Amino acid sequence: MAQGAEAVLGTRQIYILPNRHGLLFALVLVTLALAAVNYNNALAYLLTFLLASMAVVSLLHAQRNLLKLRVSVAGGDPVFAGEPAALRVCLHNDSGARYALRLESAPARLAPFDVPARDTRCVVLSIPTRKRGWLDCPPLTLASVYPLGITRAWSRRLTLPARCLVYPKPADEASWQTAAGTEGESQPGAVQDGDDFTGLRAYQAGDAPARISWKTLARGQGLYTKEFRAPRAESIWLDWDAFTPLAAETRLSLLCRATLDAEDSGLTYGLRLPGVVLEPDNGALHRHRCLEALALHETVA
Amino acid sequence: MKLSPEVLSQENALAERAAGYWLLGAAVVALLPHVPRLPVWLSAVLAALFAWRFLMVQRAWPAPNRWWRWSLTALLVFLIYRQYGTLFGRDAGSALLAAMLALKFLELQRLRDYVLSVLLVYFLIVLGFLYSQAVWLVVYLVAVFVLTTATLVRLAVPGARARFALRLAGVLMLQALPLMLAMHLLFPRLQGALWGLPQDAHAGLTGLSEEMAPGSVHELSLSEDVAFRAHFQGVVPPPAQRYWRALVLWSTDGQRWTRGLATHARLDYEAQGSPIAYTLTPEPANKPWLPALDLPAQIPSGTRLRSGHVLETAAPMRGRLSLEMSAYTRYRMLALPESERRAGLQRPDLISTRVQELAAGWRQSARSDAEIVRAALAHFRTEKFYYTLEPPALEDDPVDEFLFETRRGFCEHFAAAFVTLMRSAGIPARVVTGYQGGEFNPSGNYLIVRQLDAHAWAEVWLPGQGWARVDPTAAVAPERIEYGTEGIRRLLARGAVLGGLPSEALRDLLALGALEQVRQQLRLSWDAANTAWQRWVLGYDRARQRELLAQLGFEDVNPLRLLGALALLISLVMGTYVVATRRRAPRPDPVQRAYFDFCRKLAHLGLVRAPQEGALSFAERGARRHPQLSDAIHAITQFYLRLRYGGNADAESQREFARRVAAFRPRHG
Repeated sequence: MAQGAEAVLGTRQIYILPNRHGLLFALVLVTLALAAVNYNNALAYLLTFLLASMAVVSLLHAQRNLLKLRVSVAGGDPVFAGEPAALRVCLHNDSGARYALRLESAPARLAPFDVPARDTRCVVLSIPTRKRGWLDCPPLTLASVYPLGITRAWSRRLTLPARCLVYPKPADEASWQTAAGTEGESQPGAVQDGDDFTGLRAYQAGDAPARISWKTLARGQGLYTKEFRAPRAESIWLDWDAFTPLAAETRLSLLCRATLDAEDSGLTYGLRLPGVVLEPDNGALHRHRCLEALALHETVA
Repeated sequence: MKLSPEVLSQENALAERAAGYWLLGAAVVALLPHVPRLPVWLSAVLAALFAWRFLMVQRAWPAPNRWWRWSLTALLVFLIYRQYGTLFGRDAGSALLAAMLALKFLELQRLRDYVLSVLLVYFLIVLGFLYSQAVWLVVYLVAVFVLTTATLVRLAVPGARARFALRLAGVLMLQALPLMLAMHLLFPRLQGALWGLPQDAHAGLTGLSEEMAPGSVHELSLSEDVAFRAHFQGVVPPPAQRYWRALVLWSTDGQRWTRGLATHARLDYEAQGSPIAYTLTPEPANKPWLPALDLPAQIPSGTRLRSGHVLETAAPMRGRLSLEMSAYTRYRMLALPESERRAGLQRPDLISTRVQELAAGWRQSARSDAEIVRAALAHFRTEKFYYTLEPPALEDDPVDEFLFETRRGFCEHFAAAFVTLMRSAGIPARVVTGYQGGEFNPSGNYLIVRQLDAHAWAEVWLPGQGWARVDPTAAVAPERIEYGTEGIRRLLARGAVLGGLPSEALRDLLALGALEQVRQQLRLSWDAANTAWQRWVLGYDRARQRELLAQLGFEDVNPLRLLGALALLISLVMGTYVVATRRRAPRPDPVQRAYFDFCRKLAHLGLVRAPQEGALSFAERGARRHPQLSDAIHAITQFYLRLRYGGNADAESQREFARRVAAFRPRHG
């Protein structure tokens, strides 16, 4: 599900150029130099030189602010398509403090943060998802305008082998109803009535009168509904072929929905996909296996 | 990149929180030195605008809308134009800049507005230097500069604490100093201004006047202002040789002396001995004449020689300049040009018979011109002439009145009377004005010559010798020459009679108290620092740059080469730094060092950690390979991970970890 990786920023990975404020700064420098020349004023010269020298020195600070930072990405928990994936990007700093780091990954633009000396700071990069399958960590750029805000130092685009699993988008209620109608059977994920009495629950409007527990009502204990469940051994199959005329992605979406419903209902369910058969089971791991199979299912074009 | 409105306002809020007050503070302190020069109405407007900004932040006052801002801007520009008659130049420019900055404060919306405002503050600081380069102002503006830079830092690093921002600004500034120095020395300097200097910088400068009337030199004797400084490469000449000639006065009407003969001349004397080299740094005087040690040995570029071996600059000395000079104190001249003979014998229309008779008497009894000179000096010595700083007023015929009635005078009285007498006796003579003496500053091997050292003396033409200096004042009051006007003043204040005291008595009288000595020492040290500043910073110009580079062995410099050298130097420094950082592996901290030891110990067992292998997976691999070490490996690895990523690696647990690693002694099983 998640993989980690690390990149170290070396001198060759770091670029520095003046940003827009830097160009403004350069313009001011030129004007100051003109004033110094025109008035032949030694202190005006000196201050102009001082500013220029500080800009030069700031380049070194800018470089050092990124140099030897280790960047690692941990793939986040699986998400359903349409939900944002959360990748955890950590910056490990083995030397002095780093300032105003900004993690950029189009289109995300996070607020700048600092990494104290010999410490690690992590930020969560939220990436919108559309398709199921593996979501590779997008190229990351670490940038900073430290120290004077007139330069932008940035790392070469870091492509780290981290990825995040994206489950298919569960079908919504409406398409579920339609699809279930075409299927012609009882809904695979719906609660199936059985003979085993499992207990009483508070009456809800719409409960069948036959189910009302008259005994408890007679005892004056309130209105209850008797519940019956299918036996545990009775398992259902979530089957690719059950939605035969539909498009592949729609089927996966419906099966995703079914998986979720089945798990929520405490059913034992199995999944049948072309080439993949997961024997009936339940629990979080089984649910993940099923969803993973759905996410990674390769449709024949 | 287009920013959405909410990003924008967030950016604004961030910048405002980080640096709003800092920017306001930096702008106000940068403006303070300008306030006395700005028109009162403008200062009031600026104060109001800044106050508005403060209330906008503090009390959430509304910002003026665009219409108001534009009208206000137009109004201020118009008013400033009406005040100064222009929008350019130093005065109008700084007023305009201050107004623009204050107006910008009403529309700080984006980060860029904040950055621009900070840059404008830098501009204000530099404009401050165009008015004054006094040391206190430099110190003040450097502090403002650091504050301004710290503001920039806080804009770039939004979470920066005040101390961090100020420290980083200071560090950046200190680290930039060597580079700044290189730029200062190498940046090509141009001669003269780009658009012509404004007329508004030079006024109220005093100096030697081009004519001498009774009282004119005396006026200067009250001024402690520095006239010039002279740095000597070698030996400093003794007081009796410190005659700095500035003007030669040929022409007189009996009352005032003027230059008369002021033609261009050449150096036409026969020098003897070796020259004394020195650097002359005159204070701006708004006068062209250049005091030079008797007699100038060369004509520095930018100056010219007038008859009488006096130098003057091509233009009045408004700015500071330093000139490399040299002088011969011993010299001989063979031929007297006809024009100089005529001018040197010109007798004033106003000359009393008493004066003429006195001179004629000397002429009759003397066998040579030199003897007449000696007779005249003896006359001043024996006839109870007094040197005084408060001479009685002279009226119609100053020479006659001084010689026969008051007999009290100042150098100018003695010089004028002496030259008049010499001319009456038929000896070509002229008055020389300039400075005599100077205070030696041992902390810099230089002389400080003040306006109060102004002096007048005489020169007579003696056959076989040429124009020879004769200082009648020295005959009357040798103390003037030995101890300077300052010394005379002190002697007179202590009731001494000039001209007769033995030198020990004089020294006792002149001795300074302990406190005075400290004060004098401080004054001289301060002057030395100031002078070095003057010389190497304020006075560093094209000529000095050439001279410095020539000393370093670069004779043929031009602006392009200088810029090239500068670029090369900067890239060399930067390149060296980058290469150095690439080579230098980060020094592991003690925990990591100990862990590497641990890995080395395992490596002896044949268990080598792969470069990319994490500590945990390495431990698992090790435990599988050497089950008997499993506990120890896991314990150390857990400890390591806790120290390294747990965030509480205090010194004690670091040492404990090192001890554990040291105790780990695996043996081949």
